[in-house]
Amino acid sequence: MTRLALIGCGAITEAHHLPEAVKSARCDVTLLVDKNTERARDLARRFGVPHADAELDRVAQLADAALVAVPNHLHAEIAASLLSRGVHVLLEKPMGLNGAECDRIEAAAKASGAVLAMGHPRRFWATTAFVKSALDANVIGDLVSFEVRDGWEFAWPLKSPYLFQRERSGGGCLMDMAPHLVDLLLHWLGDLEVVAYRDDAMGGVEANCEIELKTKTGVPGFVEFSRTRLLRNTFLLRGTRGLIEMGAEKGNQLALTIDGKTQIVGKGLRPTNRRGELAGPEEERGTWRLNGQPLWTEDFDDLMRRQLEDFLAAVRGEHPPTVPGSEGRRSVEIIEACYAMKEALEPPWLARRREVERAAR
Amino acid sequence: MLRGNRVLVTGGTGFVGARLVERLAADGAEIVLFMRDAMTATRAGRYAVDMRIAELSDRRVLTDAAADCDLIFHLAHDVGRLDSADTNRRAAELVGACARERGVRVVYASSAEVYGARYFGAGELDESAPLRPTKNRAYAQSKLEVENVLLAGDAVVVQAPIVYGPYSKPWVHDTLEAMRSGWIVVPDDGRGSMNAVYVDDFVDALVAAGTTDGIGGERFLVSGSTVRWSQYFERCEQMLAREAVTYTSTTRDLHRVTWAVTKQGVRDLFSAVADEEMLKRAERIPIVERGFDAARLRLPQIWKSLKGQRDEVPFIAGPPSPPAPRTPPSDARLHLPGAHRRALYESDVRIGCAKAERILGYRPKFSFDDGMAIVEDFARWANLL
Repeated sequence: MTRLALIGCGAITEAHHLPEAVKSARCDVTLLVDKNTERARDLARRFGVPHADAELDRVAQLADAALVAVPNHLHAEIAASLLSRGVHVLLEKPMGLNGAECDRIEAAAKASGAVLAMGHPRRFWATTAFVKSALDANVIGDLVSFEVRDGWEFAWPLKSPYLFQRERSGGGCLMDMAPHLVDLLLHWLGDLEVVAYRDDAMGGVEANCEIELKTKTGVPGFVEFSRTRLLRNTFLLRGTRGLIEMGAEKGNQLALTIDGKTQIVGKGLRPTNRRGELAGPEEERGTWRLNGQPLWTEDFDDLMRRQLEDFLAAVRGEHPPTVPGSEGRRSVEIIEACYAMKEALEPPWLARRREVERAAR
Repeated sequence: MLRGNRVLVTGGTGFVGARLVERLAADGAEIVLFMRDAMTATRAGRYAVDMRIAELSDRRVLTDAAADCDLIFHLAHDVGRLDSADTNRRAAELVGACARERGVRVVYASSAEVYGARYFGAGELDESAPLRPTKNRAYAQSKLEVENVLLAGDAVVVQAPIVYGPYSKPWVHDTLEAMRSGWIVVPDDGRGSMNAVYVDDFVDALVAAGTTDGIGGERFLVSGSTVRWSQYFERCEQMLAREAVTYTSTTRDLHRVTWAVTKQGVRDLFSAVADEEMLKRAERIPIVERGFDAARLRLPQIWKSLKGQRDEVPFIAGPPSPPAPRTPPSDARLHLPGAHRRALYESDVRIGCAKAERILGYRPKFSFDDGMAIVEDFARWANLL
């Protein structure tokens, strides 16, 4: 049985990591660590965890592995520190704020031989694997373009304002969503080059951003993230023979069109309602089938569970982690390249406002 | 004007607050945000602002946030809880105490609703009207209480009627959502007057109130355009390219529609808790059957019976004739106005801004057409259409 410590007791730990970890038959949660000891003790009491500390000192003593979910600017320091002490680490995304931080973490893992796995839960969707297979098998022909749009009115139950503090979060919606979604593009399409990047940050962190990308063979792509408005929230991969559309927020949304005919997997791509929830009767969710078998009906907790089990199996030496550190750094490098070439993003409605202001002067 | 000044904004993550933060940042102010919830800081968080999170009644955090500030904008206002009025009063006392201690001004964003019956009535309205909020309107009573607490110090109060613009929840998101999901029922043939100020104009007034000398203790009422409600709803229909508003002429019409919708609601509730068989059995009971039939049959008649003219409202530039009657489909979801909305839709008031114009130099830049054109661009960008 792997002894697991959870480092950082923010919203994600309370809502997902901790409930899944205490349910797992393959680990014992032995320690919670948070600077806010009152919160760590409160969660420890509620979830029956024996120890709660403010510092990392006892992690190596009380645990074999740690799930690190702390503010982004602390990822490198804490992950490297734990890895160098031989503690296996499942690290929340993004791996670091830049390539240098990723180097530091990877070097610590290499030196001690401890497992480093990245928290990129969308890699565990069945649709992710399906799209990878379909692209590798050239099902939609040669890739012509790719897009991903992901946006909603921000509603993450933050316990602190750190996500809006650039020095701690490293950025806004790009830093938040690229490790989830650009990561999948990298997984499917190979290395990508940033052609242009625009966001609306004015000294703080961006609420909206756009990236123009291209693959090594020059196929153009477009990425749009928003924290102020609902977008289509899908990946769209166009090929010479057809297209694949896959949900970016829900794992059971997929439509495949070949030669003008939509070959639907399960019930195909289902539109989301305005809250970003899957529309349609609840009972239909469980009826999707692939080869006669019920298709994935996973929610976010399923992904967290699968990610944790994958990490614990890697710790036991059964297989390497599905998303190792070398994969985590790829999206960080894209983010770094984006911020380095940032241009201002102006929503189209501002132009009219400026016209009125000009006329008034 | 505010360049280099340290400015505290409470409620800076809301619709008006976030726009105020954008304006203050553009003016070069150093901004401290006092907020209850980090989750809503998306827009304000685009700027390099100093964020402090605490409950409105947290003296320590608020005092700390106000330290070294040269000006305070108080926009935070708690609503919908049993102790909201207490929370707002205590927050006002704290904000007032911080301002007195620092010797700085508080600008309070208030509402024209503090004038109660006069705001929901007819004719011209300005600051000379009696401050008598509607008795059962806790929001307005609390707003007036906060005004009075703050005006005991060097505060300036800026009152506005409807404030609209990009990101307005009630006047953009909610209206468009209601029209997408059903039909909005508007009484009085939509002839009532909508006093609306574009958010940038309101923010201009707030900033002017913070930077004009010698106006401590004053109240200013500001507005933008006065249009008919039908003009607002028709503009929204134009954005959505569909009809989604229906008008009633008389109170009796409105009551009939309300009653029919209530019956439908009861039926929906019944079908939610009972199985289809039970429902069918219930419908076979003659009195129930007659009730449902009456409701189904009467609805279209009500729409067809739209008639009746009100006296012309001379100061509103708008179509003189009532909008053409529209009949929503029989299965349409109808959004009825609550008591507050109904009072708004039926008011005939026009707000005068002479005092703000004279003392603050207030001149609204955005006509209703300008404001709604921006709203349309925004709504398209935000995928609300």
